[in-house]
Order: sequence, then C-alpha cells, then structure tokens
Amino acid sequence: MNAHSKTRKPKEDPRWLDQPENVRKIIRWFYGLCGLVILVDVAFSMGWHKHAAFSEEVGIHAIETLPAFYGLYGFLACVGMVYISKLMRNWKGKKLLMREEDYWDK
Amino acid sequence: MTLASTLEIGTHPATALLIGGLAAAVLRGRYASCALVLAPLFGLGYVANLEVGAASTLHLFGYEILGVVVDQQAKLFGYLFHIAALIAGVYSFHLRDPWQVSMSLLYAATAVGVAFAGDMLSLFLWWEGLAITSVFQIWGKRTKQAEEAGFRYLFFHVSSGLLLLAGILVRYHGEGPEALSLAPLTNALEAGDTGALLILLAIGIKAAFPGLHVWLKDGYAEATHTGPVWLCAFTTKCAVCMLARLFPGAEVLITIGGVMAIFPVFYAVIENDLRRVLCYGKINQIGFMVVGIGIGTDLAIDGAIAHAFSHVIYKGLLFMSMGAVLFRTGEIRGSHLGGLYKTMPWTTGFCIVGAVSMSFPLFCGFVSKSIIITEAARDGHLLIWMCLLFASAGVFHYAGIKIPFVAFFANDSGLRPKEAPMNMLIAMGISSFLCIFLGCNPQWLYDLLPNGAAGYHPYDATHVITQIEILLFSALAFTLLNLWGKYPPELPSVNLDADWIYRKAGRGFLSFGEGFWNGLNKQAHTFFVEGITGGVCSFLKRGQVHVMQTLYQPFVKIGLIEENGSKGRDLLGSDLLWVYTQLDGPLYSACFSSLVFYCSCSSKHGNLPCPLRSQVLV
Repeated sequence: MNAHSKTRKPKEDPRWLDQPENVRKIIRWFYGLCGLVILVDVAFSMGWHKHAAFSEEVGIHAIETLPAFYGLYGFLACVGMVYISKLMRNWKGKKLLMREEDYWDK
Repeated sequence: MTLASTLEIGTHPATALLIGGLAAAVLRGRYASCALVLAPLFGLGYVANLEVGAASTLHLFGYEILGVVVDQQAKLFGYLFHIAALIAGVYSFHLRDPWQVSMSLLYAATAVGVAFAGDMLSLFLWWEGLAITSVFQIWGKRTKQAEEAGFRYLFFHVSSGLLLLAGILVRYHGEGPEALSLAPLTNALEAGDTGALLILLAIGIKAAFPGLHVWLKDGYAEATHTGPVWLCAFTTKCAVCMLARLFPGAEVLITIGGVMAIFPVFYAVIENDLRRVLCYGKINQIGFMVVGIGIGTDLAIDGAIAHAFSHVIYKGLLFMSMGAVLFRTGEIRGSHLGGLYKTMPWTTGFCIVGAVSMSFPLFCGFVSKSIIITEAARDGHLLIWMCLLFASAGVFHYAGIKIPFVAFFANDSGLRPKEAPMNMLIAMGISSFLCIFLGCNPQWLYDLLPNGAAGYHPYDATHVITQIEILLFSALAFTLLNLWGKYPPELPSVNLDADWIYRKAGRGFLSFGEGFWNGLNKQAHTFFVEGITGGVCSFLKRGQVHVMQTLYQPFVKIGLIEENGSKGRDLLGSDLLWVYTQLDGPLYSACFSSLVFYCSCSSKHGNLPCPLRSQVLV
C-alpha cells in the first residue's frame, strides 16, 4: 500500500466487501455451494443413470462414475498445479525459473 | 503475362476491411475511428450473403490462383473475424494513432483472406500479410521494449511465412500443380513428406506449439492496451483454421495439443503480468483445439472450430478488461493491482463474465470446449482426456479466478482509477452478451459449423453437474490455499521460458563467439603478423646492421678502421640504418654479403682493399 492510498483512503466509505465478516460470509456460502453440488452428484448417481465418458471396458469407467470423482480430481489437480508451480519458482531455496524484473535487459 | 480474373462472387470478402484500413490511414480523428466500426459491419453483411461453393480465380503470370473458395468453415471464420474486428474496433474507438487504426483493419482483412483462401499461393500471400500488419499492435506502444518485442515477434512470423513457402515449393517440386490445393495433408505428413512437415511447422509457429509459443507471451504483453484484443482474435485462429483444413486427424496433433494444454498452467500460476497470464491461458485453450483437430472425427473438428469461435469472444473480453485496467492505471502487474472494483465496477463485472465463460454452463466456453473433451473420451484417449480435464480445472483456477481476484479484489492497491471509457464498456458489453447468448443458445453456433455438431447436446444433466463440480472444486482449492497462506504470492518478477534460448543463451553464445573468435583473431594477429612476420621484417631491416656492426668491430680493434669512439659507432649505425630503410634491404644485404666474402678472401693474402672502407661508409 503506498502513501497515495493512505491519504485518499479515509475519505471513502468502507465497502461491504471491506468488512472481514462479509468476506467470511461469502466463503461460507461458497463452501455450502460446494457441498450442495456434491450432494446433487451423489443423489444423481444413485437415483438416475449417470453417463460415463468412457465405456465399461476402459479401466477408468468404475472410478469416473463414482460420485464426487470430478470434484476431487479438480481439487487435487489444482493443489498439485500450485505446488508444482511453486517448485518452478523455488527448488529447495534455489531460484529455478523466477528472475528479477529487469532480467532481460541485463 | 496475363492478368485476368473471374469474379463469380463479386469482390473478395476482405474488401470491406481493406478499404476501411486504407480509409483509416487517410482520415484523421473520429472519422478514422468510424472506419473501425463501419468496415467490419459492411464486411459482415457481405459474408452473410456469400453462397457456399462459390469461388473466384485470378490469372497471374500464367498461373491460376484460386483467390476465394467459400465453404462452411471459411464462412464461419469470416463471421468470426468480422465480429471480432467490430468488437475490437468499438474498443479501439478512442485511438488516434493512424498507424495502429489502419493496420488493425488491414490485419483483420488478411485474417479474412486466410479463412477464404482457395489454394496455397493465395494462402501464402495473406499469411505474410498477417505477420506484417499485426506487428503494429506491438510497435504502437512506442517504447524501446515494445520495439524489440515487435522485432522478436516478426522474427517468428516471418520464419513461419518462409517455412510455409518452403513447404509449398518442396511439395510443388514433387507433385506439380496438384500440391497447390488446400486438400488435407494428413496422409502426406504421416508418410514423412518434408513439404507437409514444413507446412505444419509454419502453422505450428502461428498456433503457438510448445517451444514455438514464446512470441505470444512476449509480444502480447508488450503490446498497446488495445493490441492484444486484436492480436488474440486473428493470428492463432487463422492457424487453427488452417490446421483444421490441412491436418485433420493427424495423430501427432493430439500429443502436441495435450502438451499445449498442460504446460502453460504452471507458468500462469506464478506469472505476475496479468496479460501474460491470459497469454498462457490462450496457449492452453488452443491446445484443446489442436487436440480436437488431431482426433479428427467430424464432431471433434466441429468442437475445435466452435471453441475457436467462443474463445475469440471470451478471451477477447478478458483482454479487453485487462486493457481497460492498463489504460486507466498504467499498471498490469498483479503485485501492483487490487481493489479496483471500487471504482471500475462495470469492468469488474465484464471481466467476471469473461472468466466464467471459460467453462461454466450457460456461457459460451461450456458449449464448445465440452465437445472436444467428450470426443477425446469417446475416441479412447484416456491420458489426453485426463490432461484436458486437468487443464480445464487449471485454466479456470488461474484465468477465471486469479485474474479477477488479483486485479479487482485481493489487497487494496490504493489505486482509484476512473471507470473505463464508454466505447470500451460498450465493446465489453457486446462480448459479454455474445458469451451468454451463445452459451444459452448453442444451436446458433452449431448451425454454422461444417458438420453442424450433429448429435451433440451440451446440456445433459451428468455433464452439467460434473462440470460445475470440477470448477467449484478448482475454486475451492484457490480459496483454501489462499486462506492457508500457501498460495504463491504475486511477486514483481519474470519467469524463464523457451525465450531464454535466444534472449540469454543466444546472447551469451554471441558474446562467447565474439570473445573467443575475436580474441583468437587478435592473438593470431599479435603472434603471426606482429610477432613472427614483424620479427622477420625487423631482422631483415635491423639484423643486418647489427651483423655488420659485429663484423665491423674486429676491424676497429685491429686498427684497420679508425675508431671514432662510441659516438662514431652510433653515427655509423644510424647511417647504415637510414641506408637500409631507403634502399632495397635484401638487395643491399646481398651486396654486403658478397663484399664480406670478398674481403675475407682478400685478407688471407694480407692486404685489405681500400674500397671496403669507402663502401662501408657510404
């Protein structure tokens, strides 16, 4: 935060999103939404016929039709992605791909 | 020479944009900007009236060039490029730079030319035009970095044009005029034809294949605030259009597309420049299209083309929102932005629409991307299917959540810019409308496709639920990692990519070459030219003097020659040196040697002839 913002900030009315409890409220709603989708998936898998992307001969068919497979896959994929990216920045304290901003001009 | 043409279809579909571009070059101020809006509108009306199957040929130098062939795919890309030009034109309405304004319309015109090209020769001409007209979107920034980035961009695109020409010539040499048709080259490629491989490489550069992709993240990030909106619509989509024409079903494209979909996601997470994050997202999405073309079924190719269409709309929208941020704040680094929603609420809203359009149901990305993922599974590509699913979650994670979050929310940067100008908001509004309209009415898009996406229904309950699930959990990962403080922070930095090879290793190689070869040259010069040759020269010049002095000494000692002291000796030496430098040294040495020989012979007889002394003292 720079000095400029400090001089301007007090004049503004705090926004709804500026209050931490409102942010927490949004996050709670978001968790609820995630839970709801999983519930719908479970209900749908049990009550109706779920189309599988792969036919029954392919090994992944059984896993893929499990409820919440897509949710778990998406979650783990993103966590894995973030950790690999962090390693690309720093490998055991050594800079791997990240360089200072004027690197190309040097 | 004959120059004649058969114009079954009146004029070329790119004519409206070409005239608009020329008009914008001549006109100034708002009049030039009006061309930005009117030219695409006229062109769009013209493309809508083209009949599928029409063609136009041009006879030039005895060759028959098939300038225009109208088929369903060309028509779809014709619509797409005109719509993109219209939206980008509205977005750029405030521009007062004649170069940028006119070149952007000419750029759109060359893209339309590529889409409608009927044979390799006309394709090549438009392809080169694409390279030259587009670079002005980068140079328009008028900074040293932009100028250099523009040259690097040109290097890639001119290489692409040359490879295309080489491919055409190799094939023409082997197969004659048949090779000029735009019939699929998949069989030729898989049979190992060099020409087909060169053409694939040429298209691969424009399609940002892995390793050949760096021009994209380098050029777009240095372009003007309106530049990427134009750039993202045409160049890569022309490449996708030509891949779908020339290489449908080429197995190698499945692997290439899979790699393209995967590797940029890691870069995007740690990239600080938000437009560069979008560039990585763009490579990832082109990867989906390349996979679709590689699978090669009618539906997969339809999916690739449909995704190219929706991708232009929503990626354009995201680039527009980032362009507005750059225009208002002069800043695009994630580490220096945040909290802009307070004063730029409309831009924030449009950015969020663009972000969810990537894959959420009811938005345009959902109805096109899912065709490719479904076809990958139906065709039995398990690994590629998992890659695409991963890429789908990943791209939503960084481009869909990270970009709006970092730019408009996150930590308050204290920046309080004005809302984007009205023309930008209108352009973003049109794009947002199209994103939602196509998402809710996919049949409009499907009807334009070459095979009509026959038998595909995006809004199937399983599909909707699984897709929402994967996206929400991707967002959940973002939320939790941020709350736990595990998310990599936005740091002012750059990341090494394949451009390291020519920007650092290349420069290093150059300075090594300069140091080594020039050093070697210098050493050789010192040793041979100055050392040995110089030594020989100086020996020939001075050595004889010393030899003669040495020979002369005994005569002084025995008193045959008068000694004038050291002064006299020096005088003698310098006199001789002067004689040597004035006269022909070797000739003189020969004379001198013969004299010495004569003297030594004579001295045996006890007397020294008088001429010696006078000769020596000459």
